[in-house]
Amino acid sequence: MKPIVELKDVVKDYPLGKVTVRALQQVNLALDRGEFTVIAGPSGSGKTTLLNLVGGIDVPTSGEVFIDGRETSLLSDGALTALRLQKLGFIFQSFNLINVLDVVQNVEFPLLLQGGLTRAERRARVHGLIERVGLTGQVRQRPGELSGGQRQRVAIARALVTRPAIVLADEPTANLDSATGNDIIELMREINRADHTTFIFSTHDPEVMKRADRVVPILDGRVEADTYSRSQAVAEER
Amino acid sequence: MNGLDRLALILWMGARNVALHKVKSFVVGGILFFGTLLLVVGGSLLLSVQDSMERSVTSSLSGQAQLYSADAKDDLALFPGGTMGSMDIGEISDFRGVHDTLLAVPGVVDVVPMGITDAIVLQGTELDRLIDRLRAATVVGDRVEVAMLSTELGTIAQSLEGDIQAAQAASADPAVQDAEIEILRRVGDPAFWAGLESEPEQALTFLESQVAPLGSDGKALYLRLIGTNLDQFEACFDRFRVVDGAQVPAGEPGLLISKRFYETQLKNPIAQVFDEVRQARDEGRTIADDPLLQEEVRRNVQQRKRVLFQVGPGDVDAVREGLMAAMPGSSGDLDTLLQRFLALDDANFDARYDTFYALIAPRIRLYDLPIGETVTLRSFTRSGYARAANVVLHGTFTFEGLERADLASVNHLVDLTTFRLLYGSMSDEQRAELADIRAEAGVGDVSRDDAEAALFGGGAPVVMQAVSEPAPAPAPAPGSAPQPTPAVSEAVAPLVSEAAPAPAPKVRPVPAAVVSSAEGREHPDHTLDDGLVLNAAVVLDPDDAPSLSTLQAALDAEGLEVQVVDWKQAAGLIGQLVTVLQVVLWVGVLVVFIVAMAIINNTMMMSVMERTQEVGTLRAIGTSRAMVVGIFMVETLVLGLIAGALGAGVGLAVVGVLHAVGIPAAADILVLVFAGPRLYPVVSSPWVLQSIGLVVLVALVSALQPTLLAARTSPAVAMSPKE
Repeated sequence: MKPIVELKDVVKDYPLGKVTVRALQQVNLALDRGEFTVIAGPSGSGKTTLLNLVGGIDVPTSGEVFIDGRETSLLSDGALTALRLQKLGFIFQSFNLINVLDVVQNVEFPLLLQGGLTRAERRARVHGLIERVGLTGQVRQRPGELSGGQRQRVAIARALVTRPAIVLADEPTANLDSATGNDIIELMREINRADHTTFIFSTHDPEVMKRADRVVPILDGRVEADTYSRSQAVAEER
Repeated sequence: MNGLDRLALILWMGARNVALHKVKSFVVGGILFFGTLLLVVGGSLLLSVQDSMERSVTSSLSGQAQLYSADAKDDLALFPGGTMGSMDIGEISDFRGVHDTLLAVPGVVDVVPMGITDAIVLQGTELDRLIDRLRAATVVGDRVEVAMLSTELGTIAQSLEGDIQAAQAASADPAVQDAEIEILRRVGDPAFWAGLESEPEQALTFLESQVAPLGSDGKALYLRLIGTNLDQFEACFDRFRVVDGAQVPAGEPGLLISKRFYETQLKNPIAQVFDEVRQARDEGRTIADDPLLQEEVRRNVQQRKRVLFQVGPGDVDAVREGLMAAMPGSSGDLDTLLQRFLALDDANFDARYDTFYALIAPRIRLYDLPIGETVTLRSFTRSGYARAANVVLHGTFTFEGLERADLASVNHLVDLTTFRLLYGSMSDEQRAELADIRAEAGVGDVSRDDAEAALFGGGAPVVMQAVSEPAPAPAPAPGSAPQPTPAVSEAVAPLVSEAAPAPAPKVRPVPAAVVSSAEGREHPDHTLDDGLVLNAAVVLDPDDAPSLSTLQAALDAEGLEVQVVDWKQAAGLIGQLVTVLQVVLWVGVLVVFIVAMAIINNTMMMSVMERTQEVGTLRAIGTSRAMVVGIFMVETLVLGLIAGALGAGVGLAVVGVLHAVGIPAAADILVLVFAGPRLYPVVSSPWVLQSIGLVVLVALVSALQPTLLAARTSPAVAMSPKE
């Protein structure tokens, strides 16, 4: 099967004042559909940079990034934005909900950007997802009125509402206590199993790494040898 | 469906964000609020002023448009500003053609012919009048009158002597005053009055030639005359009202003086002080509290001679008794009584005002030019020829609502025929007379082309011509009816002969030189349209007014060299006031807007920077740049509409209050501008909407740059801090 995301000889440089910092060096990586992958590394290792490239938020300085078969550096800003809207879902460390919108509106927002569905279809999908993340009682509340865990559940629903090929989660548990973090990971894992949605995480939380199919360790901008986690090994054994 | 839902969501976000970002909304909204308030109130005031001024000017003098010669040297100014000095607006060469052409244009109600010229009225002094009466009394042998007048003249001479002595102290050449005192002392000498009986002519000549010039100077009144067809004028300008006297009878020469000018320039100054104090007291001021009024009263006591000298010998006793009755316990001669009487205070004012008008006013010359009297108007034509016309002062007029406006009272009205005479157009008689004079002097016509040859080549005595040629010999339209003229005293005389009219001439008809044929004054209507006209007012149907360019085109099509200007231009300085106010308002608005744009821009920039995380998130989850711009713009739009509506609401309330109370015209010029003593501003609903629209537009423009910057936010900022 063709990988959903593929990085070939990717180099990413950032200007930092007058000097240039190389955040990623010659990264080669292929991620398959339906995988629950963790990109693991300490702060400053380059994992957010890698996630940005995988999510079509940024393009490489050199090398190629393919998302669902399309090379991102060849796309215009508009096309890249459309690609993110159609193919990707995002979950952020600080939840990043739209403060002025309530739960339903936040979840519905990407669908309105996409267009194409009737109001009833949108409604059904939004409420289905809200129920799935367990927020049926909070539909008309705004982010400020929700706990951190609840907010992240809204973010998960928003990320999933467009039925994306890939969901990117940028340290989704970093701002949560460990119990809530576990619940969130469990929820995503469930969705991954049920819908075969591809999940790509960045984290340095060992608890999260334990749940992953595959752990891609990154250090100083280099990806170490592809290592599959225990759970993946367990799955293969089966 | 999706688009609508998306729009609804963006509007919702905008409204919510306005509520959420309180500081930004307060700052930006506050500026927009005040901007709208300023626009609504300022615009309403401006429109109201423009409206009221337009009413003032168009319905009093100008009509909606004025016409004058296309190649005029100066701009027409119906209300002159500041500088006296006559303007040269040329002549409308074919007024009949202009009149007929324009009346054929739909919506043109009438075209009123006009002409503007300056005239001088020379007024005699009290001394002149007394000497006149003395001469009359001497001729008929009225001994009682002669005795009373001689006593009075003696008193005046004494009083003048005092004045001259005072002046001598400051004089560079005291010998002059010594000579004058010598003359006055002769009048005080009983031997002089004995001489009046034996040698009346000698004594009277002495009085007229030597004594009269010593009296305080006679006034030369400058009148700015607008010559027009007075009946047509009255019919076309509905603000015109005759106050005292009556309208000039149709077809007769006559003068109407503006009421305010009549009251402030021609009324006895003592009476004026009474009027002034009365008005001040009506307005709630008191003599006790107002130093200006105290000064007026003090000066009034000093200038009591202005009444004293005017009370005729036969009235002195009646006035004395009346004054003593009004001031119980007082006694003394009239001067002493008047001095006491004029010492006004708040307690005695009302009674003394009544006494003045009941007892004194009927016995003095209350106005320098009484209504019904014949006035000699003098003028110089453009080429410097002195002209004069005797016309009856039929009455005073005012423009309703503009009673207190000085600027509206600078113009006085005279019939068209008198105007033509004063301006310098010649009657056939005068032309004939001129031809005779030329023939006598041996002057021949020399055209400009031949002038050189005539001057230097030939031997003909043409040198005189330059002097005697009356330059603006306005040729009447071919075949026009003969032009009747009103009373003419000096036909065509060189400037020098009239330049120094000393001693002060008598104001009375000059019978000998006056051509006053009753039938000559009656002119059929059409001859008025055929003669000389300088400018004309075009009165338009307010419901169906053609544009000025339509009028201009109609005139141009007929080859008439006449320019059409709107009332604002025609009014002169006062018309420019609207433009000035407009400029002031717009400059004010512009400054406020520039400041507002800078502040809004800055505030929006800060707001955008605070919200980079939000924008980054929007971008990351797939919001296009255009959509981000849309979201921010809608937010600004919502804020602008809310602030604009509030500002307009408060502005409407302010205008409403102003409309109910009225803005008082604090200065005289404002009476004309406000078309009355108070301005009651109104507001037009299109203007309110335009104001809100303009404010919202300013807000959007100033928010554009920060918003475009926001749209460039990288979606990466939504992710965890850079490593």
